[in-house]
Amino acid sequence: MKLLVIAERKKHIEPFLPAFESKGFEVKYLRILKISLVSKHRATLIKSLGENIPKYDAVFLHARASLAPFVEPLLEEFSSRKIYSNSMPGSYYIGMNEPFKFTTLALGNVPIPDIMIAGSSGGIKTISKNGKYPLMVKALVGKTVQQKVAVNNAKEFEIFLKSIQDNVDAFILHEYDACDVITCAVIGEKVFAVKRKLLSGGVSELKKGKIYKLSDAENGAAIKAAQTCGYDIAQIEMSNGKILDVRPNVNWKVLSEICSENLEEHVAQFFAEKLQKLGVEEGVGDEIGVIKRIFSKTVLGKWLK
Amino acid sequence: MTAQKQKGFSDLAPIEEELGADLSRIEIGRKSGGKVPKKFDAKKSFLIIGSKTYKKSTINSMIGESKKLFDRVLFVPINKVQIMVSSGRASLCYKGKYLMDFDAIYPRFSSRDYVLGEAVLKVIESSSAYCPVPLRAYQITNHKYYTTQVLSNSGIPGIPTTLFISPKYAEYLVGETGFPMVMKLISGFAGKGVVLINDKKQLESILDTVHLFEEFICTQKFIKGKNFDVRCYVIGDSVISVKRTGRKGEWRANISRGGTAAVIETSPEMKKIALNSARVLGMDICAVDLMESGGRWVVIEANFMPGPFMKYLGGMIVKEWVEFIHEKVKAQKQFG
Ligand SMILES: Nc1ncnc2c1ncn2[C@@H]1O[C@H](COP(=O)(O)OP(=O)(O)O)[C@@H](O)[C@H]1O
Ligand SMILES: [Mg+2]
Repeated sequence: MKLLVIAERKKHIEPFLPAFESKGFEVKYLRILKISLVSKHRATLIKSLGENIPKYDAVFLHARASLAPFVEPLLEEFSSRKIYSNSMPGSYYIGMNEPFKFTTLALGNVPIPDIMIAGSSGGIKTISKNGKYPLMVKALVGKTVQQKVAVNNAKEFEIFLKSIQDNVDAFILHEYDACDVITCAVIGEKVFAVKRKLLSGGVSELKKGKIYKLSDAENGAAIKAAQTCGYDIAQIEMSNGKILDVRPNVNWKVLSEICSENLEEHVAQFFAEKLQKLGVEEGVGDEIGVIKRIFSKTVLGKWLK
Repeated sequence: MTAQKQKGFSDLAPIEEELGADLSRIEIGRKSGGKVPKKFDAKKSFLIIGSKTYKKSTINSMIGESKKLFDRVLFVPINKVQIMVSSGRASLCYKGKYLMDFDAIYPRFSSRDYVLGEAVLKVIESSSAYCPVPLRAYQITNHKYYTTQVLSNSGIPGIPTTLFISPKYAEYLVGETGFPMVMKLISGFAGKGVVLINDKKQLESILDTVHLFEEFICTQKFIKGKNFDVRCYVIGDSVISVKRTGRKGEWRANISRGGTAAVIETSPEMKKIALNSARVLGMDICAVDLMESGGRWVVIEANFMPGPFMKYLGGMIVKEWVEFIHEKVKAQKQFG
């Protein structure tokens, strides 16, 4: 099976190459900067430095969500060519835009804090008198969070309102409990978690986190959050069982170290199993696959096996 | 936000009507909104959510037309919308009132509304309101390369276009478009961020500075000798075509660059391309811009929020939009 690894830099994914090889993949690495898309004559080509990229069975993509404007059309091409990738089309647009991400998680029934999003300070002023405190307030300029503060009472909220600059595009207010934060890597159905302690100056760095055993509910929430955003592999942040962030690029090095796990190996294993499953379902030509599925619960299903 | 826009907004405020609950009594993310089954109501209501940089003349005309047909009309610019979100629920509010019980919602968002646009469209899609434009189309049409890719893959004629991350590697793509080529910011509008590049030297000097934009760019084969394009307004199954001609010495036909517009007859070929493009993108209302290349029509871009060119066409397009949405609502009320 041929697998293409795409990343922004080779050093981000170096340990994945032997891990995939050990599972029998024929692996090639490609720097995302070198890829281009060409649309012409009612078709699209994926190129690397002007050369067409040959067909692969799967793509392992490791890139930041901010590359969405390039990654989305690329993912759509993979998907239409039935090349499996760990991120689905649409997922990078979700990852790149926080108001959209929270709305998507909410409508996917993922546990999240209660949130209010508004495009102007007028829109969040209503909270001041009647809101529940403490609150976390974020000010976004374009896609980037420019300001992020915890607000404990109406007075602090007033101070925040006065500090707002003109160029803010959106505000995100959410209920907030000062408590430990869990960061985890989701790989298919497996979740590897690290707990970051709440200290006086905020939550500790990921590097200083400790391995953590998730409850069943937390485990389920992490997997559901990743899936809802369209990721089979993702990094999740949560506290109090509520999801605070989902992103496609996992900090593999640090999480592997703290969890004393070879996460690259788990990813390679996940890809091997995923492709096998996809192969079984879609393998022998689509029609047989469809017929098998239709009759799977009947005696005919057994004959077709 | 400028004082002028603030004023424009308050001018429109009186059309607002009683819509229900008061936000001051609602905690963040109250379990409400979303797909709440609607009570049957013979009255027809219409919500227009405008761009944060909405054009007052367009919106005033839309409100005027809407009031002739709908019982309840409300206009809110997107930056005044509040989105209330909690697990299992997401609703839109405005000045303490719920916006989830309208029969139709027409979001008119440009690429500048990106930060809230996707979230608002996601919430609209979870409601039972009729909406002529989907979220997915917003994402695709605000990306000039992506639009070409999606349409080309569906067999709709376009012009060779390329997308890349690093300008450093753009030289490998020259062969795909040749010179002269057109370079575009993927989310540009009104002819901004569309430049002509005549040779390798110009390409190099532009690539040297382009990273400063912090925007993705695409390149496209230049269609020579055509300083006009045709905008096909798609309204359901009908198409109204408008020819835009660039002012003298300008190859870009945008009205905002001094171009002029006039209605022309829609040929069967134009109609087919425009309707197919709109269908592929899932939009009932949009505009598909065409150019003539090698004796046939190709798609240049699709517009999620086309301007109605009121200076040249008066209120004609706006009227068509409102009547179309009204028909949809009427049919929904009749047949459930
Ligand atoms: N490939 C091209 N060849 C020739 N002219 C073009 C080409 N692409 C765009 N133009 C001209 O430039 C104008 C603006 O380009 P367009 O892609 O529509 O960007 P915008 O969204 O800013 O209107 C078009 O209306 C058309 O007149
Ligand atoms: Mg245009």
